[in-house]
Amino acid sequence: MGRLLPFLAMFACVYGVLEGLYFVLPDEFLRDVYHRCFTAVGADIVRLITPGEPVAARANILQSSAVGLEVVRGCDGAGAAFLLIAAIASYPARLSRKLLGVAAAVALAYALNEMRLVGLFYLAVGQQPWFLPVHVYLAPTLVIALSCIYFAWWTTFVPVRSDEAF
Amino acid sequence: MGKRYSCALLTGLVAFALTGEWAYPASPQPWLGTRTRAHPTEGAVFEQYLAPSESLDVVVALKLRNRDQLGQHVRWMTTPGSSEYRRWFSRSRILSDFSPSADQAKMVADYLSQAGFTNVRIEPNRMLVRASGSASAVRKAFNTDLARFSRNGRRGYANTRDAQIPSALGDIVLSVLGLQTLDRMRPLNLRAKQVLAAGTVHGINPVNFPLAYGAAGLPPAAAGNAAIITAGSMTQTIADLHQFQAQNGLPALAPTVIQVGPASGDTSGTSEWDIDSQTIQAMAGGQLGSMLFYTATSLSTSDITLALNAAVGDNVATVINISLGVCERAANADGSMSADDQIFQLAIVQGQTVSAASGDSGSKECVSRGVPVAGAAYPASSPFVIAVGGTTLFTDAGGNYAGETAWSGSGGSPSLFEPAPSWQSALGTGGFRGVPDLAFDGDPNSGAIVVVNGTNQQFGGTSLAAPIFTGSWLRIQSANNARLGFPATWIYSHGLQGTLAYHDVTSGSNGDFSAGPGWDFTTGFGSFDVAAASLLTRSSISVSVSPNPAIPGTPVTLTATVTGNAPTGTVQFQQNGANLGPPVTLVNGVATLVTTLPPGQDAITAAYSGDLNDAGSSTPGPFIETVGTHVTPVPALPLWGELLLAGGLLLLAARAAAPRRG
Repeated sequence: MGRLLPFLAMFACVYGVLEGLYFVLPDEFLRDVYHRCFTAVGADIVRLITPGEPVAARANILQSSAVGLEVVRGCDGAGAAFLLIAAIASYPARLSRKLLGVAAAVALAYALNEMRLVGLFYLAVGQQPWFLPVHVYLAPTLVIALSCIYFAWWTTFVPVRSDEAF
Repeated sequence: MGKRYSCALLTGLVAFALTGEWAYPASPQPWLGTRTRAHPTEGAVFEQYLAPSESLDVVVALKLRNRDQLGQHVRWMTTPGSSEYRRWFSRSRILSDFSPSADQAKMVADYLSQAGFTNVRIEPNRMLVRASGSASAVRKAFNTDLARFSRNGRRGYANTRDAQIPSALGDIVLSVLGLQTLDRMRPLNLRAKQVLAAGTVHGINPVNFPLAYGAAGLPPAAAGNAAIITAGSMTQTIADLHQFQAQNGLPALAPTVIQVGPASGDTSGTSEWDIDSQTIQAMAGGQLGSMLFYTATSLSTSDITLALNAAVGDNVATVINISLGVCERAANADGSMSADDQIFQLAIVQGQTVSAASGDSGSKECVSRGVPVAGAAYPASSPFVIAVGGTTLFTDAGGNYAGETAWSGSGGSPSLFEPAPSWQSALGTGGFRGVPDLAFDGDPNSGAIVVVNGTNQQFGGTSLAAPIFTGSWLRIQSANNARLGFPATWIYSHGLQGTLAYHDVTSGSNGDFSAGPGWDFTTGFGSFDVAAASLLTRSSISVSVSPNPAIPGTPVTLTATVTGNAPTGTVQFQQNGANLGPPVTLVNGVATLVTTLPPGQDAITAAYSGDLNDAGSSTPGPFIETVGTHVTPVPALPLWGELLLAGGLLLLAARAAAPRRG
C-alpha cells in the first residue's frame, strides 16, 4: 500500500501535464494534424471499403454528401490515450517496458478512434437512427473496455517486484 | 432709276407678304436638320400654303440612346451560337438603356408647348412625342412651310422644306412626322373579280391554308398573341370575324381593340382588317392567346407609326402583322422610315417579329408622274421586318399543296435606301436590302374567301401573304413553346442550305425580276411547309448534376444534353438564376462543366444558345442539387467516459501491482 499514493500522484501528474500540453496546442496546428492523421486516412479507408461512396477529407471534416464529421479537440481519442499513458508511466515497471507500452497505447488509441470515425461515417450516411446511440454510448464504452483490456494485458507482461508492490 | 428701285421694292414686298415671312420672324437660334426632308411632290399640283391657323397633329420621333449597342444586341440576339441568342430584353431594360430618357422627352415636350402646340403627350416608351398644333406652330417649331397639293385626285398637305429643330435638340430629335398627308400607307389587297370556288386556280377558304401549307399537324397557336396594325373603325371587322368563326366552326375569339389616337369611323379598310384577322386565326389553327388590333386614327404614316410603337411598347404580341405599305421614297423623306426602323429594332430585342406585306405593284412600288419607278414598299423594305411576297397557290383536289408560281404583283426589288442586313450579304443585292424574304399565297385568283361586310368575297394581295406568315410563325412558336423572335437568320440559313422544308418558287415574274432557284426578288425563298419548318427550329435541353447529393468543396459535374438537328453552339449553366461560369461549347450535343457548389440546395438550369438548325431552348425546370450541409463534431470520450476509464485503469493497476500471496 505504501507505493499506491506515489502511483496515484504520478498518474495524476502525468495526465495533468499531458492534458495541459494538449490544451495549449493551437487550433490551426491541430486542424492540420487531424486532416493528415484522421480525416484523410478515414476517407482513404472509406474509399477502400466502398469505392463508390462519395467521401472527402475537407480539412478536419470527414465529409459525406449527407453529413460532415468534424474532428475537433476532444474527438481525437487523446483523452483515452493520455489516461493509458499516465497509467503505464506510473506503473512500477522498467522504462523500456513503459516506453513500449506507451507506444502501443498511442497506436491503440489512434486505431480505435479511426475505426470509430469510419464507423460513425457509415452510420451517418446510411443508418442515421443509430448514429447518436453509437456515438454517445457504444463507442465510448468500447474505447473504455478495450483500453482497460489492453492495460490489463500489458501489465501481465510486466513483472512487478515485491518491493514495488502497492 | 428711282422708278426701277420702286418696282423692285414693291415686288419684294409682295413676295414677302405672299410667302408669309412677315408673320414668322426668323428664329435667332441655329437650326439643325432632321430625317424629315422636304416632301417629294413630283407629279403633284400645288394648291396653296396652309393657313397659319390650320390645325394638324405632329409626332416627333426621338433618337434611341445607345443606338450602336442596340444594333449589336440585334445582331447577337438573332445570331445562332451567340451567348445572347434569343435572350430577349424586358420593357424595363429597354426603358432604362435604350429609350430616350425622361428628361430628353420632357425637353421635346416643353419645346412643343412653347411653340404653341397643345395636347402634348409623351408615349409610354418615350420613343414618340405627339402634339396638336397649327401650321404657324409647325413653322415656329420646325422651320418649315406646309402647303396643300393634289395628286391623282387625292389632296393632302406636305412640308415644302426640310423639318429642322434647334441645335439644343439635335441629339434628341430624329424626325418629325405628320407634316405630310400626301403619301399614306395603303392596304395591300386586291379583290378578285368574283369568288372562284373551283378551277385550276381558285379561291381558298382561309381555314384550308393550314392544310395547303402543311401546318395541319401542328397544335394551334393557343398561347400565341397576334397584333394587327389597323386604322379606322373595327366594328364591322369584328362582326365579320365572328361570322367567319361561326361559318367555319372556329372558337369565338374576341379581338381586343387598342385605339391609338382619336377613334375614327372610317370603314374603308374593313376588307383589309378582315383578311388579316380571319387569315391569322385560321392559319393559327383557330386558337390564339389573343388577337390585338392596334388601331390608328388614319393611314397617315405618323398615325401608323404611333400604332406600331404602341404594339411594340406593350410587348404583348409575339408577331405583329402589317398589311400596309407606302413607297419607300415617301417614307424615307418624311422620316417615318428612320422612326419605324428604330421601333422595329426594339421589337426584335424583345423577341417580337414584324411581318410586312411586300407590296402589290411588282418590282416598282413607287409611282412618279403616273409612271411606276424603282422603289420598294415600306415597311417591307426595312431590314428589321420579315417581308412577305405573293404567289399563286395551287392545291390538289384534297386541298393539299400542289405548287406555287410567283404572282405578278408580288412586291420585290432592292431597296433604294435600306442597307442589306448581314443575313442577305451572300445574295448579291447590291448592298441594299432585298425584298421579299418569303412569299405565300397572294394572287387574288387563288386568294382567300373571307367574310367582308357580311358576305363572302375573294381577296388577294400580299396583304393575304403577310397574315399567312404571321399565323404560321405563331404556330411554329407555339409548337416549340418558345418566343423564337425575329427569324431572318433562321430563314436565310436554311434557305441558303436548300432545306426541303421550303417550297422554292422557280417560275413567274413580278416585272423586272423573275423567280428562280433559291432566293429571288419575286418570292424570296418562297413559302414553307409549316410543320417541316417547325422541326427545323426544335431543340430540347436537359441537365443533370453528379454526384447528387454532393460534398461541399468537392467538384461536381454539370451535364447538359441538347437534342435537335445535330446541335452546336453553347450552353449557359445557371445556379439559382445566376450564370455559372462562361458558356460551354457543345461537343456531340453535350456540354459539361466541372465546378464546386456551396452547401445547400441549388436549382441548376441550362440554356442552349441555338444554332442555324436549332432554336435555343432552356431546361423546362431546374435540377435540384443538394450539397451536404450538416457538420457535427464527434467527441471520443465524454467526461463520464474519461472518469470511468481512469477508475478502471487505476483498479487494474492496483490489482496487477498488488503483492502476490503464497
